[in-house]
Amino acid sequence: MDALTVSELCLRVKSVLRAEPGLQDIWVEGEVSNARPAASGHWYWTIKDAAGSFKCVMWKAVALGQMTLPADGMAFRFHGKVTLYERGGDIQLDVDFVEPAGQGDLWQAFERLRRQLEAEGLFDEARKRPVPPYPMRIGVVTSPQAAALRDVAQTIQRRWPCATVLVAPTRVQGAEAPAEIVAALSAIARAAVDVVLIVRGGGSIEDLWAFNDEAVARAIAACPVPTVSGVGHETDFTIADFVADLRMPTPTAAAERVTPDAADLRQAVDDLTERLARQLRWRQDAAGSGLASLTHRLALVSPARTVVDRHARVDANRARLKRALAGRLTVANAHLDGHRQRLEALSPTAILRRGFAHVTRFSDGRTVRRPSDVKGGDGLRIRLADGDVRAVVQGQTRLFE
Amino acid sequence: MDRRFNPTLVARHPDAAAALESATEDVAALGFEDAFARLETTVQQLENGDLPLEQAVAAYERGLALAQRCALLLEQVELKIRQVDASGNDVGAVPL
Repeated sequence: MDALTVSELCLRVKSVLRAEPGLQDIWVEGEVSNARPAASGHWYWTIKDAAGSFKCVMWKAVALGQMTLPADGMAFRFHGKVTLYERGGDIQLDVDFVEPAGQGDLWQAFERLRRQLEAEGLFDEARKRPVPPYPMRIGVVTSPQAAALRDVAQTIQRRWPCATVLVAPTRVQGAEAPAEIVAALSAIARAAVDVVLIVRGGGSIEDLWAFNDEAVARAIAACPVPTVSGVGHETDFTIADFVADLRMPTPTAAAERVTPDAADLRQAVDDLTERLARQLRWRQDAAGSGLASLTHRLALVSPARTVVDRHARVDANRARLKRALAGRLTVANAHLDGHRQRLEALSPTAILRRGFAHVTRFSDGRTVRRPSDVKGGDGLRIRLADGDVRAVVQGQTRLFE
Repeated sequence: MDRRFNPTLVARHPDAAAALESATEDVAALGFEDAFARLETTVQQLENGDLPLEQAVAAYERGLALAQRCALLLEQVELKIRQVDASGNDVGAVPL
């Protein structure tokens, strides 16, 4: 008899599998090991018990719709069909549904509560509040000993250290946790914060279960300030996540999301200061005055930098100085004067000291800019550097036609 | 504080006096969001309008005060982490 090709063998096995109803549309329960997503996004793992093990696969699109994903060392129930993957010659379970094993009741309660709160409108997009952009008081509901708080504190220290972080401590797992979380939310609301972070680190489904508690969900919904949840890992979703105003994948991500970056803001303030100074400098130039030292003015407005910014600051100032120097050359009658303090040159007093005067009409205080603003006999108040002179208009001459 | 111009001169003009007073009094109490927003509008005012000299001076002074306030708030580098009790009162630092 002619030998089969490998592909023919695979096809034969595949059709046998497909034809066997006992291998299509089945539930399998076992302990998961070696669960991991491939670069493609498809998930692969092995399930085993005392006497056997079996390869499993879940395609990326299917995985995205799951409430939970297989995790090593834990028991799960899978629904799917047995197939042959020709490329590797692997017989595997093609999974379309994942649920934790031995927790059928828990999941039913979870689903019931989720549907009920959803029907009450607690998850509605319309009721979700925006996070304030510059929160000065940031509340955190978490366990004070856990890594989550350290991560949050480090993130806020790095990005927005002018805020104050207020911690309402609570247990974040165990039977006592839900009541403590509710109390902590109540306490943090009384602390008049601008936003509340509700965070804890990753853990098993049992560890996170307090955040599926009904009282906790209702307390989050009733919080008077915007709430941001950061519970567990990226793939964990609890009812707290659905009811919060914003859900972030981790505690660190939550802290980043609610804080601006102070380094960016320092740059923005510098830019605005530069524009401010430029306006006055142009005005002075129009009046024929000299130029001021740009770096000196900036130094007055933006004092000591943080250590982290020091090098960037030196480079930025060097570049700024270069640009300022280049700008100077284009202005007529520029006088370079080394390190002398130039700021005074910008002030109105300095302008006045040079002999310019601020002239107003004596009758109503209106500034006189051109000869037509006054007529013969009008009283004038001429403001000089040290005081006023009163004068009377005798006549006018137009300088420019 | 090192005044860069004689305040009494400016103060004699009603508009500038009001601007100067508001420049120094309420800026010190502003939070970052408000100070930054007002700094932006002040700079825009100077860039857009043909402000007469006395108003431009007042706007410049106000802008400078606002920029200093923003810079001061951003200078704060030591994050305060406090624990609260059931009533929301600060009960001490959190050891991390």
